[in-house]
Amino acid sequence: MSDADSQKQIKLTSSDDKTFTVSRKVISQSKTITDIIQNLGIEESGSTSEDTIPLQKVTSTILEKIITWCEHHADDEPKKVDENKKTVDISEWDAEFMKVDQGTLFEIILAANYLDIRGLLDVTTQNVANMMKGKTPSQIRTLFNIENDFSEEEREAMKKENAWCED
Amino acid sequence: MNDMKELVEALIVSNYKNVAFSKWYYPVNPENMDLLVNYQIESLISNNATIGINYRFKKWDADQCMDMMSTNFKDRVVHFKKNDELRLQTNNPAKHILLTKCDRYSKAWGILCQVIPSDLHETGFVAVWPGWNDNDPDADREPIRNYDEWDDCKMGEPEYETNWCDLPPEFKLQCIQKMDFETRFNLRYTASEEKNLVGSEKLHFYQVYFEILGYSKSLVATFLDKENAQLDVCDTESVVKSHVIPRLLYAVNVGTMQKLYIQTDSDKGINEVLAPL
Repeated sequence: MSDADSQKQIKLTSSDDKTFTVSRKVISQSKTITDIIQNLGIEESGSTSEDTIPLQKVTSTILEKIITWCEHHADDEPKKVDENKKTVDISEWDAEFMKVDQGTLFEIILAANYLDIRGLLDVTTQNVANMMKGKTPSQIRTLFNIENDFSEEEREAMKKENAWCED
Repeated sequence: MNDMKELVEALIVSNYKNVAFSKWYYPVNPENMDLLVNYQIESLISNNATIGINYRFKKWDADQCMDMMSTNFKDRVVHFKKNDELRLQTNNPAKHILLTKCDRYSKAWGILCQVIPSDLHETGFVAVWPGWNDNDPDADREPIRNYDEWDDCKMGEPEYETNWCDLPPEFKLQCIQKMDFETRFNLRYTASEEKNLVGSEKLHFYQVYFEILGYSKSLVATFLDKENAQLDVCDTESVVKSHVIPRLLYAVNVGTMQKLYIQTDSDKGINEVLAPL
């Protein structure tokens, strides 16, 4: 992407019809949007509706958060992909960024996947993993509203797994 | 004899590429370790073992054991350098078993049992094996937790439009991939979908180390992967049964390991631990 291209603006419309104007450099972190731009031949923002990219699966609240994240990480160096390493280090800024309610966090995860923003997806899923760390099964259920739906047979099997010497 | 055979056939031994055994005290029942070596060789001979498999037996009296194996398998001896190397045929013409004695004062002392290509000259095969205890010195010691809450059926009131349960399984898996061993272990006890997802995600351990002490009826289990170290130290028999065994079962079912260490001063102890596997 040339410097001139990076300065060009792209209009994004959320599912609730709010429009956001962002630079192509910022939004290039979204592979989905980058592909749409290339496929539609959009060169620069204009005054017509045809130059606006609709994002029907992302609300304005979430889209605003995502744009904020992308703006902060616009100048990040591309990360080397290590297939063996699944965990990621969360920076202080990202940690602060993810201090939101659970619903918002999960919606960001879904949107990051839809928009294919790998870095954002990595830090948000890592954040969820970190939230569960150090907690008992009961605490995890309470924190994430998980229903204990094990059948009686399954519960007995798990109890047996823990008390096999007592048989 | 049956105990040793069962030990060799245990899933935890037969499914991993690098396994090490040790008995701490000499001369308490040294013949049991000899039997273990013998049964392990029999297993490798008959089961078409994969080239590259390494079994290591830590023994003070390695000379005696090498002599014994050369006698027990005399019909299969390809090469025997007195007490230092013993090479045996297997049922597969393409594979041999090489027993190597390591000096007791070296870092890797004991007997190393390897499956090698039959056309490979023994001096051309160098087994790469680290020191006996190469645990991560920075491993954090996690406190033993109360797991009586596993059966708690409390259901929190939904507070958000999107919850964990609303995530598609593939997104849950992405979160699980970023969890350490202990977190995954606990998550699998929350609900059936989580149990299945955790069970479907493999864990790659660099090393699993079990130290089973019959005298104090305790067990130290170390699960190390490249990124996370989990150390669970148990002091009483009841704690071993309630905390370590479930983790061992989970690790064996989902884990792929580069190295497996089993160290014990009690044959009974090790069989008790491995029996459910």
